[in-house]
Amino acid sequence: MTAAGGVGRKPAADGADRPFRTFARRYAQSASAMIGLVVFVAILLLAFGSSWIAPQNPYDLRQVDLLDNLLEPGSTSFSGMTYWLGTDRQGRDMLSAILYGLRISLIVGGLSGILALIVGTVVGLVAAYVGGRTDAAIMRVVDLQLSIPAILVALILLVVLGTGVEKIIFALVVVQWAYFARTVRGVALAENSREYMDAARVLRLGHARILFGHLLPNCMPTLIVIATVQVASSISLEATLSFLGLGLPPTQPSLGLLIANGFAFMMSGKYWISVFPGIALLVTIVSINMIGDRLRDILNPRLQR
Amino acid sequence: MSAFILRRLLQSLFVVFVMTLLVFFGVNVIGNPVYVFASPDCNQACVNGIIRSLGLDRPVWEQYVYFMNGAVRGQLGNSFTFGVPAMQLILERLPATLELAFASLVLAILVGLPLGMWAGMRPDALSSRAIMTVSTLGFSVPTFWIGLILILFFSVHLGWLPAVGRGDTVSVLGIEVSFLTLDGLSHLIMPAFTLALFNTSLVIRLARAGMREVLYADFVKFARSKGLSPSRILFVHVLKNIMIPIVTVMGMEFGGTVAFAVVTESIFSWPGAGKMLIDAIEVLDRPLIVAYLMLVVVMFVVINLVVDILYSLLDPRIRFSGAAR
Amino acid sequence: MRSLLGWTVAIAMAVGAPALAQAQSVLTIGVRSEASSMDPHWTQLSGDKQVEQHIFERLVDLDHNSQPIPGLATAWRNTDPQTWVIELRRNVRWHDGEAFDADDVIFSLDRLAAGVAGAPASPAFALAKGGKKWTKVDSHIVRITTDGPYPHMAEDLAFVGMIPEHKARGVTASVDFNNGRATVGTGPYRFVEYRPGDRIVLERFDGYWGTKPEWDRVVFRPITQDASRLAALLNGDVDIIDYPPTPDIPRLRSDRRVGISEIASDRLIQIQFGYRDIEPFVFDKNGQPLAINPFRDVRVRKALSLAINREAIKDRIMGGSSIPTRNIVPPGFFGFNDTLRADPFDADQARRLLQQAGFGDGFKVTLHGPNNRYINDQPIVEAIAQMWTRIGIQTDVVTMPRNVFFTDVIRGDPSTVPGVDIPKFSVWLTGWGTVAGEATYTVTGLLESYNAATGTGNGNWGRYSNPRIDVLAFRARQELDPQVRLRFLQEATKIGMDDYALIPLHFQVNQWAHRANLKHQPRVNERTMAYDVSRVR
Repeated sequence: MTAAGGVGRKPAADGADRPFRTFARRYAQSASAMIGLVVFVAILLLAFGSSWIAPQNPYDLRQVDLLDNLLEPGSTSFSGMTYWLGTDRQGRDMLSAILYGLRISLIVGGLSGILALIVGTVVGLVAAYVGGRTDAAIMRVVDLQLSIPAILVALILLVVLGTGVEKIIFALVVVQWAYFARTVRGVALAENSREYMDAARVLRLGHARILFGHLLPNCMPTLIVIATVQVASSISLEATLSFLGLGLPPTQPSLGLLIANGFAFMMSGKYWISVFPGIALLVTIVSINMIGDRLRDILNPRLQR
Repeated sequence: MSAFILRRLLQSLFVVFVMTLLVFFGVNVIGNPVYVFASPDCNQACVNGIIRSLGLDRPVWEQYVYFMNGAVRGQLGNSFTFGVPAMQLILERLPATLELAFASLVLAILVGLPLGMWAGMRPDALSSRAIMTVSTLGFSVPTFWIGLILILFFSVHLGWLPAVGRGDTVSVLGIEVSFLTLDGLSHLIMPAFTLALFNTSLVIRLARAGMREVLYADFVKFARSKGLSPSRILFVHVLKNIMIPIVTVMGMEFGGTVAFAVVTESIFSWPGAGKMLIDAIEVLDRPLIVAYLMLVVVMFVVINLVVDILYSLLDPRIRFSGAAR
Repeated sequence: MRSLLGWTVAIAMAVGAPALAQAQSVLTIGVRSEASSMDPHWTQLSGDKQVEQHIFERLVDLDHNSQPIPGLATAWRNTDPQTWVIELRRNVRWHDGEAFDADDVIFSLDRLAAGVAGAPASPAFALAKGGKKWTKVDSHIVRITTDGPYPHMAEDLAFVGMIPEHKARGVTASVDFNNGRATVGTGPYRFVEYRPGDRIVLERFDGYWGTKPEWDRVVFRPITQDASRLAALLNGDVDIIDYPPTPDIPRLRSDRRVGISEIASDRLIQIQFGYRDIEPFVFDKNGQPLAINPFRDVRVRKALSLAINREAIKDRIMGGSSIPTRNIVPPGFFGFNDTLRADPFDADQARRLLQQAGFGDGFKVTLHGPNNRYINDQPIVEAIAQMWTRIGIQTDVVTMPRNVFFTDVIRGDPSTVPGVDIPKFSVWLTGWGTVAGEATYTVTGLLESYNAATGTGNGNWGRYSNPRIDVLAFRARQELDPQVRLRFLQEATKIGMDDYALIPLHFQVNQWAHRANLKHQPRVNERTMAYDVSRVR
C-alpha cells in the first residue's frame, strides 16, 4: 500500500534488480516527492507507534481528567504532564488524540484502499479475460457506479448501515472498487492482445496463472498510482462523513470527528481542538498525493483523471 | 441508432428501478421516527396512533408498492416532518442548491482558467510551480475544513462576511436568487468558494494541459506566421480550443458538485436541498430522504444517458465504452 | 450583454429601494430547530410551537414559569368535581376582522379530538385524558365535563391552539397553514411568509386585544449548527439566538456587545437503570455477562450517584449553567421538595458502598445516551463514564442520534412484540421535561410502575417499581385539594430519591444570547417568543 511496498513488488515482476534502482533514482529527482515520502513515513511511524509515543491513551478513561479540559497548548496538568497541543472538552490530550485518530484514519483509508484494489482487480481481470456478455454487464455496473458521486453513495450506505469502522470501510470499498476494475480491465484488454498472451494460451497455462501470473503484473504500475490517490481521497471522504456525523462513532474518533468536535469551539477562540487535527489531516493527504503525483509521472499510466 | 438509444433508455430505467429498491428498503430498515414526534406524555395508544398516521404499521413491501405507485405519478410521499409532499419540499429548496453549484462552477472557471493558462505558458516558472502545488492542495484539502477556517477568519476574526444563510434574494422569473443583491452575494461567496476548490484545481490542470498541447498545434503556428497579435491568438484561437474540454468536464462535474453541496450547505447553513437531506437524516424523515436520493439518482442517470447518446451521435464507434467521468 | 447588465441593476435597485424606505423595527430570531408546520394541531415540538403560538392563542396560556394564566379564556372553574365552566374573552377578533366566539372553540376542540390527518404527533392526547366532553353554553361560555375529578384541566387546555372555524373548516392540515390560507389567528402577530429552511416572517397585528406588540416584523431563521448560530449573532445577521453554545457562555458574559438571558429549565437530566434480573450491558471484568443485576442493589445505585462530580460537569461542560439537583421538578414548580439536596461528590464513600454491596472489584457497563437531544448530552455521558471508571466501574460509552436512541431505549430489545415494549439498554442518560408545570405529570411518568394500558410510568423505561409510590401517585391524580396533593407528590418524590430509583444530575438552564441593546425575559419551557424581547431605551 505504501510507495515503498509498491516499489518493492515491481522489480519482482520484471525479474531484475536494475529497474528498481532506476526507479528510485528517478523518484528522488523530485524534491517535493522526496519531502512527501519522508513526511508520510514519519506520519506512519507516529500513527502506528502512537501507543508508545503518545503521552496519554486517550481512550483509557482513567488517564483522562475532566478537570483538565479545554487547556491551551503548552499547559501543564495537575500531575505535571504537559499538553503540547492543549486538551479537548473531556480533558483529552489533543496530541495523543491526534496520533490515535491518525491511526484510525490511516487504517480506514488503507484497508478500504487495499480491499477495493483486490475486489476491483479481480472483477476487472475477469471482465477482460472472459469478455462478452459478462464483460458488458460488469462494465455497465462499473459505469453506473462511477457516474454517481462517491459522497452520495457513501451517504446512502451509511444512512442505511449506521456508523462503525467496519461499515465505513465497507462503504469506502463500494465507492472505490470501480476505479480499479475499470483501469485493470483497460490495461488487461491491451495486454490480452499482446504476443506473450497468445503464447501463454498456446502453452495452455491455467486461467489463474494467466490472470495473476501474466496479466496482473502488467497492471501493477497503474494500480499503484490509483491506489495512492484513492487512499488519500478515502481518508478525506471518511473525514467528511465523520464530520457530518455519519462516519465513525465518538468512541473511536478519527481526525474528521476530532475536527467536528472542535467546530463548536471555533467561535470562542479555542482553535486548537479543530485546527491541529485539521492540519494533521491536511499534511497526511498532501504527502500521499505528492507521492502519487511522482509515481504517476514515472510510471505514466494513462489515467482518466 | 434508435435501437441503441432505446437500449440505453431501457437500461437507464432498469437502473432507476434497482435504485428505488435499494434506497427504499435500505432506508426503511433503520431506526424509528416515531419518538421524534412523541411527547414523553405519549402512551402506547398515542404511539400506535403515530405509527398509523405515518403508515409505519404496513409491511415494508406494501409501503414500497404504495411508494412506487405514487412515484410513477411524481408523488414520493409526504414528509413525516412537514406533512407536505416530499418532492415539493425538495423542489422548493433545489434552486438554492443549483445556484450554489452553478456559482461555484463559474468561480472555478474564472479562477482556474487564467491560472492554468499561465502555468501552461510558463511551465518552468516559479509562479507556475506554485500554482500547480496549490492545485494539488485543492484536490487534497477536505473542503469542510477549509469552510471552517474561512468562517473562523472572515466571519469571526475579521467580521467581513456573514457566516450562515442565504441573505436577501430577488425573484427572477419566479426563481429566488441571491447573486443579484449585495447581501445575497456576501452570503454566497464563501460557500461557493469552498465548493469550488476541487473544480478550480481540475480547471487549472485541464487548462495547463490544454495550453501546452494547443501552443504547439499547427493552427497556432500558422496564426503566428500570419502575424496575428499574440493576444489575439491567445484569447481567440487558443482559448476557444481549450475551453471545449473544460466546459465539457465542468458540465459533467455539475452533478457531483450538487451532491457535494450536501457538505458545504451544512457548514454554511445554506438553505438548499443538501442541507435538508442532512436534517432529514437526523430526524429520519424517510420520505424526504428517499425523495432526495431518487431525484439525484434520476438526475445522474439522465445526464449519463444524454451524454452517451450525444457521444454516440458524434462518434458512432462508441457503443459500449461509457463516457469518461 | 449590456442590456442584461442594465436589467440586473434595475432589478437590484427596485428591490433595494423599498427595503430602504421601510424604517421598520424588525426582530430576527436565530433558532436551532426549524418549525415544521404552522398548524397548531400538527405537533408538540417546541420548535413548531414557538412560531405558531405568535399567531394562534390558547384558552389557557402559560406564563414564563409554565404556570397557567388566562389566554382566550378569562376564567375556568369547577361547578362540581366533574364539570368545568370556561368563560371566553370578549371583543377578541381574528386577524381578518371576524369575531372570536364559542363556535370557534368547539370547532378547534373537535378538529383536534377527531385526529388531524397525517399529523405526526398532534397534541390530541391532551383532550383524550379524563374523558372530556365539551358543549357550547352561549356565545362566550363553554362547558367541559369529565368522567371523574380532574384537577389538570387548565394545563391540558394550554396544549390546544384556537383556530377560526370560518377559515379552517375543510382545509388540508398543515399545508394550508404553511401557505397562509388558514393561518389566521387571534395572536399578536400575523402570518406573512414561510420559506422552509430559510425563514418564517410574521408582522404585527394591530387589532390585538392584549399588550401592543413591540416589533413591526418578526423573522425566524433556522440555523442548526451551534457555532454558526452564534456567528450569525456576532456579525449581526440575527438579533437573538436560542441555545448559545455553552463553551462560549463565559466569554459571552464579558462581551459588551452581547447579553445573556437565562432561566432554569423544566428539563431534568438523569441516569436511568434497567431493573431486569439480568441486564445485557452489564459485564464482569472479563467481559462476560454478569449473572446478577447490580443495579438492583440500592447501594450500587447510590455509589454511582456519589461518584458523579456534578459541580465539575456544571463548570467544565455546561459553562457554569446547570442546576445540580436531587429533585425531579425544578424549583418553583408545584411538587418541588425543598428538603432534597443534590448529592455531593464523594468517591471514597462510593467505593465503600460498592465494597459493602459485594462489588469491590467493580464491573463493566455500557452507558448509552443520545447525542443530539439535550444540551451537551454526549459530553456529559463521556464525563460520567470517566467518573465511574475511576471508582472501578469500567464504563464504555455509546451515543447515537435521538431517534435511534429513543427507539432502542423504549423498545429496542429483540423480544419486543407489539404492545409490549422492552428496552434494550441497561443504564442510560435521558431527560424529562415537566411540560405540564407540576409534578403529578413527572411522578407518574418517571417513578410510578409501568403500565402500557393506563400510560403510567411512560418515562420509566427501566421498569422501576415501588408500591408506596404507586399508591401516592394514584391518590395525587384524584385529589382536588392542592395542599394534600402537594404532600403526596413531595412524599413520592422523597421515597423515589432515597431509593435512587434514578440518578438526577441537573436541570438544564435555558439560555439565549442577544444584542446588548435588547432585553429578553426567558421562559422555563425553552420557547423563544418575540413578545418576550424588547428594546432597551
